Amino acid sequence: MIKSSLTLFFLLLTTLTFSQSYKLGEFDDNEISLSEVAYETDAPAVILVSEGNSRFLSGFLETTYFVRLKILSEAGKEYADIRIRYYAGDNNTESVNGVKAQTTNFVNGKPETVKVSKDGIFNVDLDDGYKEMRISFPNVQVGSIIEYQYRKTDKNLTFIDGWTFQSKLPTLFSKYGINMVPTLEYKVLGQGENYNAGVEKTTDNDKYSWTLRDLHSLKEEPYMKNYRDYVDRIEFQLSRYEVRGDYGPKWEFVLNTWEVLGDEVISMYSQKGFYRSNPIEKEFLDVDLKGDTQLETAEKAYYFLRNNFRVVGEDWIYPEQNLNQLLKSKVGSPVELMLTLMGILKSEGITCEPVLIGSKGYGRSDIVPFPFLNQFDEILLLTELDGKKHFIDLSQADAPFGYVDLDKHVTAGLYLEKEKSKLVPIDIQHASNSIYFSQVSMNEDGQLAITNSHRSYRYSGLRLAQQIEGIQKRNESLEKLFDEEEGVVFENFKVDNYLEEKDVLMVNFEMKFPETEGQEMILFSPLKFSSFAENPFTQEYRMFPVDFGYAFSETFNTVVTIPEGYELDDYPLEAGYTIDGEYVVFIYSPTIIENSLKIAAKFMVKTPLIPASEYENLKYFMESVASKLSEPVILKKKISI
Amino acid sequence: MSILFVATYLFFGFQAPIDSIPKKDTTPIYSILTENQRIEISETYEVVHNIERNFTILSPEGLAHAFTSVFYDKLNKIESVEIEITDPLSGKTIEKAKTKDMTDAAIYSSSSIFDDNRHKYFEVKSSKFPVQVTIKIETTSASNFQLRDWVPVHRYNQKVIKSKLTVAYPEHIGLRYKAVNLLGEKSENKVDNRLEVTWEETNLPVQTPDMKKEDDHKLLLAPVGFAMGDYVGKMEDWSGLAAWQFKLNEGRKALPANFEAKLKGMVANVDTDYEKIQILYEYLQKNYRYVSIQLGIGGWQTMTATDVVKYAYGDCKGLTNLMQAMLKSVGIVSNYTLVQAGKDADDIETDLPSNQFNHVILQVPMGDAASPVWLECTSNSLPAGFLGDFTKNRHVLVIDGQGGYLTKTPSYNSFDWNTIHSKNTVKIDLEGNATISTKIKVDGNFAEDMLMVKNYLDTRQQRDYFNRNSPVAGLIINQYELSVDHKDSLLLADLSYEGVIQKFVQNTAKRMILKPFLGKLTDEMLLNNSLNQIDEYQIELPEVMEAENLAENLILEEEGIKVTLRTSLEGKSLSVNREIHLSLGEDISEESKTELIKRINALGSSNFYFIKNTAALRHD
Repeated sequence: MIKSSLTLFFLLLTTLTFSQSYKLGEFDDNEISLSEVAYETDAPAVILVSEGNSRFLSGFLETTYFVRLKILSEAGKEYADIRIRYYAGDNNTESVNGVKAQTTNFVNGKPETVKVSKDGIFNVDLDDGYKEMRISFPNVQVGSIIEYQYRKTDKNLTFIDGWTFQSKLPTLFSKYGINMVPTLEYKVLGQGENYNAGVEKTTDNDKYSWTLRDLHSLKEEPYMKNYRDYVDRIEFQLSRYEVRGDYGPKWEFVLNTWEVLGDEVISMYSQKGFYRSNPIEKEFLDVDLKGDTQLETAEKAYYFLRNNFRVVGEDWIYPEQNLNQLLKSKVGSPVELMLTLMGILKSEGITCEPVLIGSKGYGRSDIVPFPFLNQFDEILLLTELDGKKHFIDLSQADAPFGYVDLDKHVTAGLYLEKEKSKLVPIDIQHASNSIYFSQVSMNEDGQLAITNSHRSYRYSGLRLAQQIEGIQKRNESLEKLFDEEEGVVFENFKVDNYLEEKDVLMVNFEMKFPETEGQEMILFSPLKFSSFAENPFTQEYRMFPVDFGYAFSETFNTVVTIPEGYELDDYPLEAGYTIDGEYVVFIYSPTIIENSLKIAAKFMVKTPLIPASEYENLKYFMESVASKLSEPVILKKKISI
Repeated sequence: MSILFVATYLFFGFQAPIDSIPKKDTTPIYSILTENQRIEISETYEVVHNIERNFTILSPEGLAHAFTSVFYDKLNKIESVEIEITDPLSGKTIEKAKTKDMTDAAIYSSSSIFDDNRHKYFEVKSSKFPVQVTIKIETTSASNFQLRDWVPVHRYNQKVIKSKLTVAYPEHIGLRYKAVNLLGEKSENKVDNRLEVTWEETNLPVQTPDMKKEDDHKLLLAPVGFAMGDYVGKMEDWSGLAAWQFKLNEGRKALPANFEAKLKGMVANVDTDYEKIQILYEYLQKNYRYVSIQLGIGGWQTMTATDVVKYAYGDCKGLTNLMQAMLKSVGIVSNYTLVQAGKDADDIETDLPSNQFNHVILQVPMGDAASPVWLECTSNSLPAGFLGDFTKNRHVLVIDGQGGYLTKTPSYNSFDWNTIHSKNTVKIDLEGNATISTKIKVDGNFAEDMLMVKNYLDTRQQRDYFNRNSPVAGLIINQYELSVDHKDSLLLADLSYEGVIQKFVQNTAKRMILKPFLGKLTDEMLLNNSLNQIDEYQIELPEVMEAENLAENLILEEEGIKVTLRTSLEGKSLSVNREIHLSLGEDISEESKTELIKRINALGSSNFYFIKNTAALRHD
């Protein structure tokens, strides 16, 4: 739930009549007889009806909620404890009242209803202004229908929460209605595959409704951190409202253009002191960050803030502290630090402005093409350094200059510039690849030994650096980076972190296999370190696309020097795999040159977002890759005649 | 002097950059702590607890050490909290905070629908190091029933210079304690009728995340006399604690007359007590669900049986109390039993009678010769008499009438309770994929997982579970059937499936290699020290091939251990049979188990190699 700090004032609104189409205890025969959901036969419970109706009252919006849910199995009984979270803040921004709830069981076909008494309804103050109403239903059996209804009032009329049609359970009927008033006009935003394909919309004067039926349950899937971005839902943002002017009523526009929306946010940032024109770094920080080039200046400023200030708190577009407070505390949220960085760069004569983005997982897969503030949750900076555009992010304390949190790699954002704010594309170029070099030979003790050199670039390097730091903090050996394997001794780890200078992290180490000493036949897997040595996709099917985050490759180069006294007996065959659309590609190529075997392989994710329709092929592809990566090379002792 | 001292630790406080050191030789220190605690127990059993902590925070990681969270509920109050952050170099105060400046929040529980557990918390923020943080906390508790353990080292990477605890109490209320790995001094003092005991630890070693839990320094405390509300008790022995619990729940078992009559009718024509228990337990499981509501003394006292009947829900206390009342109504005596539940929970300290419990189960004695029947009343699926890994094999306090005693729940460690038998038919095609048909029969402990899978996962999740837990990668299940039943208290699961194994075969230039398909033993499988497992495979190769590494019979046999692996190849037909029979002593160490698991897995993990028939592909 998002509660903006923007405040608007309205005329008193007219109360309208409003009717709820479902009533407690009034079931139809299908609901009574239903024992399983046709399209999800194993569902433990089902939402038969989920309906919300909103109307405007004097200065607030009232929404009446009605939910009817049927328990279909023992496991479904857990859905008879309901939690409804809302934001009360300091001023009862939202409040919940008028709760009615009941359980109905059908004994010999006759309904027996037990109302939830006040003993079964609890109100809990959580944290940060949030509250939760909880309902525990009595007498719940398999076959019970539980129902609840309540009213929620919301003083925030700029953004209306609207409706989420789907839930963790299959939903047979989900409807949202709103009675609009002539003095307020809203922009409507719907999203989701089902919504786009077939929402039933009705309009009757000022009454609007949207209905979806037979919706699948929502479940998380691997490689899809942002599944929330695909949920069917509808929201509203105020576009204009009527006020009394000197010559009769007139319309005041609200955030109706990108420019207006941008100016509103800039004004908020200005009020916090982040747009001041005097040089922050000289007057307050007493440092000179001037470099020979604009890029150097920007890097110096970035590292100065990163190393002397602490980033804590949520990545969010609204700063809490003003600039002076931040400069004093030297601890701030990502937005506060980024706006400070912007101020420093501007005072050095560098073009730099904020860009608002809707990060991955925030709830939207595409940018909304009209000025809809609630789609944005995080911020980037867009700067021009020596004639070249750069996106800058300061939300990760360990990231080098120019690295942008992967959740912010979205397609577009709102560039904030006084009176000129506009949507801009975000295309962050990076080569976040990994290259693995291995030399296999026999050491002086007659044991198989592998000398490894791994180079991880950009984001894969940063991820690895974070892993290494975690291992070292736990006082563990770096062999924890790899899967446990019997009979392997890791030694001589050397880590060189050149991410800041050269975008690369290098890990060198050696492995030896003591048990191979003197063996007639030595088997080993020549490519040991892929992230995909095990197929991550085991689920039967998928509802959402597979998201690898970004395009990347893993390259393997292994050279096996055939030890004296041994011969190469066997090795994996050449192979190449891909799927339709070439989202992913794998090639594997062994070559024998004189006394050595060279294996080159490459795994490429060319397009990181792969549609669910390709899942079956992708799964088979990944299994083939995993299988190929574990194929062995076999060395045999030469038979002396 | 103090500045010099800080500077010494500052050196250790900084994290070395990522470099060539694979494992650090020195332990980084993020904070230095001096602490003084005083617990005052009054004549009326109330407790005043004062804590004073002085931190020197050396690095950003150390800020979490000074995070202050103070619990409160209906029985425990926060009197005052004072926090002061200062710059140790200049001595200037950076920030001050009191109780009103702390954030107030519910302690969110996903399992309890309602409780009164809340806390006030304060997060120290600083970008400068070192920074000094002084925290003073005063709390009061209406009851001395539970005295918190004293653990002088709070965090990893924390240097404790000095930590002191004083407990002052009236002589007649008494105090018992158990010191674990304490290295410092203890002193006692008596003024009038009040005793004062002080423990002081100095210069304790810095702990790191690889430290073993049992090596931590701590002091366990328990009162002799105690009270909660109007309920006064003595816990100098287990029976005393049990007697208090009995009193607390007394008079809460009354059942509505019509309900009692219904129960009697249900068992009217049943002969044995076990059958009666089964009938009533299954009735409870089907009709009453677990809902946790914990408020004040209600955290220890059960809801009345009448209320549980009225709402058809209750927490562990409520459901157990109801079951006890139901059994009583048909003439069967049973005992409300306290347990420290949790799959990985430590056993309780049996030599320090005190409240170490978080759950309730029911024990039904079955006569002198027979083992009692145990009931987990919050489960809606376990058979009567089987506790599952949440409460099995641990010490529990049985409330037996006016007193009670300590006993152990069953460990289910015989072969009957630990049996797995799988039969698999695999057919490999020319592309290296295979079809598989599997039947697995699982008895006892291992069937509990199957029960959970059946009850709580949907079809897609069940398939995914079987795919992920299949010993061979790349399994896609086309059809499956899972049934879970029980014979008396023994759970029985049958799983059969048919599917495809993608890339079951790896092809090198000369060989065809089968992916490992014999499931590996895990630590988890030996938790019960007993295993009776048979895996049979009939594999049809795509063509007749020469086996390269087929050992006909591999045997590992020692006391309590017998493992055999038999393989044979006839034409295209490969047979593999592995039998594992383990009956390990209770005293076997974890290290020995790990070693044994490695040896058994080594026996079954070698791949099967076949020389291809295609002469052209040979690399000579």
